[in-house]
Amino acid sequence: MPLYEGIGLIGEKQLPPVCLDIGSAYTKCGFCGETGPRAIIPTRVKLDGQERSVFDYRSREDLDRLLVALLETIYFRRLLVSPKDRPVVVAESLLTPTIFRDVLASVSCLLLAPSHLLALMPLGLQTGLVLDIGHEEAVCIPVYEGVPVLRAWQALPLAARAVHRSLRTALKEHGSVVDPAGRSVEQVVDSLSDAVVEDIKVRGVLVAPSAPSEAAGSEPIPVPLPYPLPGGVTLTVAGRSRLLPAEVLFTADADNQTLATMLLDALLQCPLDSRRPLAASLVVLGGTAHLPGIKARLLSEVRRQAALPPYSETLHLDTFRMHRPPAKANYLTWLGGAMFGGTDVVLTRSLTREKYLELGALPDWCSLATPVADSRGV
Amino acid sequence: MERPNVQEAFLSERVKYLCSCGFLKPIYRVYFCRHCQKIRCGNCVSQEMDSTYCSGCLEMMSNVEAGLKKNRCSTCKDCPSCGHTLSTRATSIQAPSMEDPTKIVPRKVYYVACGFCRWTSRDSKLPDQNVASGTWTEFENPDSERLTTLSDNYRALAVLERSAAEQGKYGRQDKTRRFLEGKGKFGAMARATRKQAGLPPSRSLVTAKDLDAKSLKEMAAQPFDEAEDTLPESAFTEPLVLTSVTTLDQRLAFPELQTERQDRLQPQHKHAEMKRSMRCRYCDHNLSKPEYSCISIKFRIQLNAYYHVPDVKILSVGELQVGQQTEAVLTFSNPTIYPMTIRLEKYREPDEEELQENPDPEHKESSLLRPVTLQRGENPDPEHKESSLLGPVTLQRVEPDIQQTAELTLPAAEVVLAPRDDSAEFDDAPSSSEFRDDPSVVVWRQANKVALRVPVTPLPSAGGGPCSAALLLHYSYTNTIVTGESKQPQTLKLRARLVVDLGQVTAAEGSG
Ligand SMILES: [Zn+2]
Ligand SMILES: [Zn+2]
Ligand SMILES: [Zn+2]
Ligand SMILES: [Zn+2]
Ligand SMILES: [Zn+2]
Repeated sequence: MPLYEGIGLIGEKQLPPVCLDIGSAYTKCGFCGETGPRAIIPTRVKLDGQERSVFDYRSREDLDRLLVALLETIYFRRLLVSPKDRPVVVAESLLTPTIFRDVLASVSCLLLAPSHLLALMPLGLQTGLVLDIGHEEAVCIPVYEGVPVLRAWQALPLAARAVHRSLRTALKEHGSVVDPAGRSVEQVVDSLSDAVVEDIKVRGVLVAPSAPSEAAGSEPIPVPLPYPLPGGVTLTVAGRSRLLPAEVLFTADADNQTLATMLLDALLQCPLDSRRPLAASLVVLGGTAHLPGIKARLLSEVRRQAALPPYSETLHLDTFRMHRPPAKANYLTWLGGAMFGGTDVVLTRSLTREKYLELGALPDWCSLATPVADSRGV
Repeated sequence: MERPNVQEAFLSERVKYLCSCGFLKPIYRVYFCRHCQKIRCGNCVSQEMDSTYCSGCLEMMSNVEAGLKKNRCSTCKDCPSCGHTLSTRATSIQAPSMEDPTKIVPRKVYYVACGFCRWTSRDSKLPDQNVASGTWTEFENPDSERLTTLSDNYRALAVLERSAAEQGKYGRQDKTRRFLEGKGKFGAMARATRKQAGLPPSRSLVTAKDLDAKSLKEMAAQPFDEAEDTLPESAFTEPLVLTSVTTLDQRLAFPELQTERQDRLQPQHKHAEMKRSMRCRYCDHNLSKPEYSCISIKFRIQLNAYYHVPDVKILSVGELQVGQQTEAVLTFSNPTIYPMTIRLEKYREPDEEELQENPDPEHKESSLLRPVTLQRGENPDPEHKESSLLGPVTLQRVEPDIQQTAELTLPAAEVVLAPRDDSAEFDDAPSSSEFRDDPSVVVWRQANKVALRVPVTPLPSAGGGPCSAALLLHYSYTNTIVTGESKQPQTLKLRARLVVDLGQVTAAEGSG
């Protein structure tokens, strides 16, 4: 159901628009024109006594209710403004399901802006190879001279979820436990909630500067980390378990794909003359980009892979450089949206609820702007 | 038998009321709209902002003030470690005297500390303050200057692009000119709209060329050869003290700081809270409106169902076995100050007439809300979309999820509930004599409450699982809102639909 009727009073008041970046794990919310989001909250809501992710919707009606509940939290608990008064800029991933977009448009008046383009705005860039490492997926889209090269986009499930899974495995294999109740390390790890696994990752996991070689002992291993759990239990996270979880992002699987090859594959899909400027303008963002050492490792992996076949033969690139965005990686997209929404284009171009109803559905910008080569086999 | 606890007694979810939209909610979660004479759940109300205040010092903030202060109180601070309100501590230190720096004298200094997790501003090496109110340096985003300049440039660019478009200076398309257009979905959006309206595609955004070419280049960030997060050797050689690293919650609580180190945490000003009022989505009337003052916890309007609709609770249920009749005792209480007649009936779906919404046409309290009509069944015809701005917005009714796994033998007789009388609360005298109750139905009666005996037979469909039954409750309601013609309170015949969760069925003993 619509959250508010008659929301589209755009242009009548000069109140700063709201900017939202609804991520699969965390939602960034705040006001356009500000230098950071007001709040970063889990994209989860409590509905009928049950806490659920907004993305775990079962039907369109269900998504309606979940989104309305999320927006209510954002407006009434965090931003403390009435949704009636202002337009909303929503950063939208290329992979946002159409249904999500439609429901969002039906609950509020908004301007959807592609997240990868927004991410370049705080850097003042028009060209960049944008890699967003989020919770579910890592998505890479090259943007050349302000235009996303959509046929070159890459997406892999190499993100926080994969790191969490790998951390559980590493804890079971290398961890040790002191448990008054006498449980084994497997039992203890299996009993850990996702929140605890996330906390171990956030506080203890590092990304090794280079891939671990076969000959053990040649590279530094961090000091083991004792992690206290309720009930007098201590789980000791072995030094190796602090490095291993992030390796999943850089270890070639059956398809030979890693975060580094993703960037190189995207470059290969780009027009020849755009490859060099793109390679010299890597922008890494997303919550998982906060893992200590991940950017340094990614840069070194990209350089290493580019010097090896097949890329050394096809790509012929040797200069890879990375940007340091003027914002934390997890809200870079939001910041772009806030800058974009701070201009008056938002007043003239927003899609009002009325307009949405008139059109029936949101036109798909990728289908209208630039033809997409293939859509992931769906 | 289980001992009833507070949750059980006051916040029981065992009896749920059916809202007009199809959701089932316990009585303390629904409203009763006196205008529509219907139960309204959270989905059927819209929220409105009333007032903003700080829960720490109970100071009010006007909307403008809240906007300027970014919804934060200028006096109170939150603990960056656990989120509780910080308090100011005074202590005295030995410091050189103001008059004679060679002399060491005791001096009073102030710092802030958390009474809950014991974090203090000294943990983050924030300097002690000489005055109790403190002259703390506020956090500033290190990149704010750069970001502000960049934003200003984008704003100027947008204005240029727009005025160029308005002046109709069309030119050849080129990439840099579409700097902002390319960022939004609206590029395609505008084109689609124009196409629909039969207009030629717009070739607007132009002539910002000078501004683009020069200032965009100046604004652009320069890439680095090294990533910013190359790990120091100490990350591998030194043991990690878990408590020296911040948790994700601590980081996210301060998005622009997001420090990884516990000793770099900084307190933030306390975030304000908001009082909200609720309106019925169908008729726009207020269902809940708190008093303006933030010190008051009272309401000016409070149409919670709890104050208007008979409150039904389960007092006891006998042992539930499939096919065997047992007895449940339900209590009904009248929350109004008028007598109320109730009658129980077998559950049936609401008919079209009951689902009909008749919003008061006179009512124009909030022109922002348009009347909502309820739509039954599945998705509306996708071809038929509302194009008029004034058209009603449809609210989907979901098919209620009503599981009936028990048969109730409901008493046919009407039962009168005495009005609620707060003064009679302490009066022990049994008042049942005046009602001539049928003792086979009425177990007991106490003030505005009555306990009814309801025979229950679990159906085979209950299996070994939960046993629940639905019923239709007729009640008379005295409406006190004075409408145009009638100055007298009217007594109305209303209905509520309930689903009662009777408990688990126990397996029959000795059978099989
Ligand atoms: Zn409802
Ligand atoms: Zn305060
Ligand atoms: Zn604290
Ligand atoms: Zn009304
Ligand atoms: Zn109403």
